[in-house]
Amino acid sequence: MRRVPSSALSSSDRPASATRPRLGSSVLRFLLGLALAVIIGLVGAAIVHIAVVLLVPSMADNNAWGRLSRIGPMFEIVRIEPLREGGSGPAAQATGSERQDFAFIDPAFVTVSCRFSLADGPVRLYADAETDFWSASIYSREGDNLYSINNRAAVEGLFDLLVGTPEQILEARADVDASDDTAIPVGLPVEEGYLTLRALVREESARPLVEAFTRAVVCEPAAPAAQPD
Amino acid sequence: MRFILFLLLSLSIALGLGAASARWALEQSAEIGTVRVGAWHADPLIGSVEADPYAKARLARTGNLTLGIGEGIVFRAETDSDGLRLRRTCRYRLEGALPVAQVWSLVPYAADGRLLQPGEGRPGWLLSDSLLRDESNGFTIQLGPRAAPGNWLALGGTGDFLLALTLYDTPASASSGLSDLTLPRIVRTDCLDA
Repeated sequence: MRRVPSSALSSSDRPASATRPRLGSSVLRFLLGLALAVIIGLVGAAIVHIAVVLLVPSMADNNAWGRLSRIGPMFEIVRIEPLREGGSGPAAQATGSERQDFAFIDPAFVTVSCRFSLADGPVRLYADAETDFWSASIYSREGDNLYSINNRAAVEGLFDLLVGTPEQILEARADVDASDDTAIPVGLPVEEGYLTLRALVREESARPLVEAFTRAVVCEPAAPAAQPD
Repeated sequence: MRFILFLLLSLSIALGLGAASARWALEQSAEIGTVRVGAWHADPLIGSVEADPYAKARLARTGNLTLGIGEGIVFRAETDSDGLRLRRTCRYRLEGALPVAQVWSLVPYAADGRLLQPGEGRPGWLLSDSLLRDESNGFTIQLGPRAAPGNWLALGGTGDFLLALTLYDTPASASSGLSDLTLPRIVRTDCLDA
């Protein structure tokens, strides 16, 4: 139905424009095409702009996850040293440049981190020691803060978390084991994430105690309830 | 032929302008979502799920370890309360009140987030615990390259610096009502090279 009039139109159009090859009309057509190309380009630029901004978090290999993965393997507690200006003083040289990969680290705190995966079950994050003040956060791989806690909010000030997907947490609660009683269950909507734990050094004399606390931090897949140790 | 030229033009505008504007926005959009209190500014949503896409992309590029929403909040200042850039060869006085927090720290950094190295035995940061208060429970903090009595924070080197005031475990970290906070004023006393 529609093909007939449209082909009839174009066939009647073509000889008309061909018989009047004026200079002005071809310049006009060129300018119209140019304007159209620029408009399409601008719309495309907007799309590219939005796509780049939205894709950067998942593409960036220099985000916190990427930097942490260069410091240590999964489930390993790594210590985060503040970046320092031109190394002076013994503390600046102690740990090598790889460990000083993060800017704006608070020097009044000992900061440790570990990356974990929930693919093979829930993960236990705990410290078998106590310290004055600590503050912890859990992030997704992309760097979204999912959970935060400090020693005032924790049970008896102990750092003891059981992180898992909501299903894993439900399962762990179903067969609750006496040894896991103190762990705070944390359901996460992601498969991979990382922990940051900051422990306050109130004064330099307390630093060994605080470092003992951060050395006691464990980040490991939760032992199945069937295997008590 | 002309069609291909126009197509190439469209594509180069789309890719070139799109990429350049995205890059520009990520470098310049630091102001989106920030809260200003005097010379101090904070980004309460940084690192959170609710952060805007620009903030998320920016964070992915810098890779800083942010403070969780419940952990506290970081205020930074690049200028004094008169709007002049903070310089390491100047002396400053911080006075006023601070919001309630279990712990806070005041740390001078270089512009790229490296710690200043004021030298052995000189205080490179200040904690709420070690703060000396006067009779009326107020305090003054002196910043400068030369030792000062009372609460003194050492500056080292030359050039600009920025101050980071981090409040840990504070009700102020709720993203509402941040702009009602009172933070210390940063007053320049004098400069050694001026």
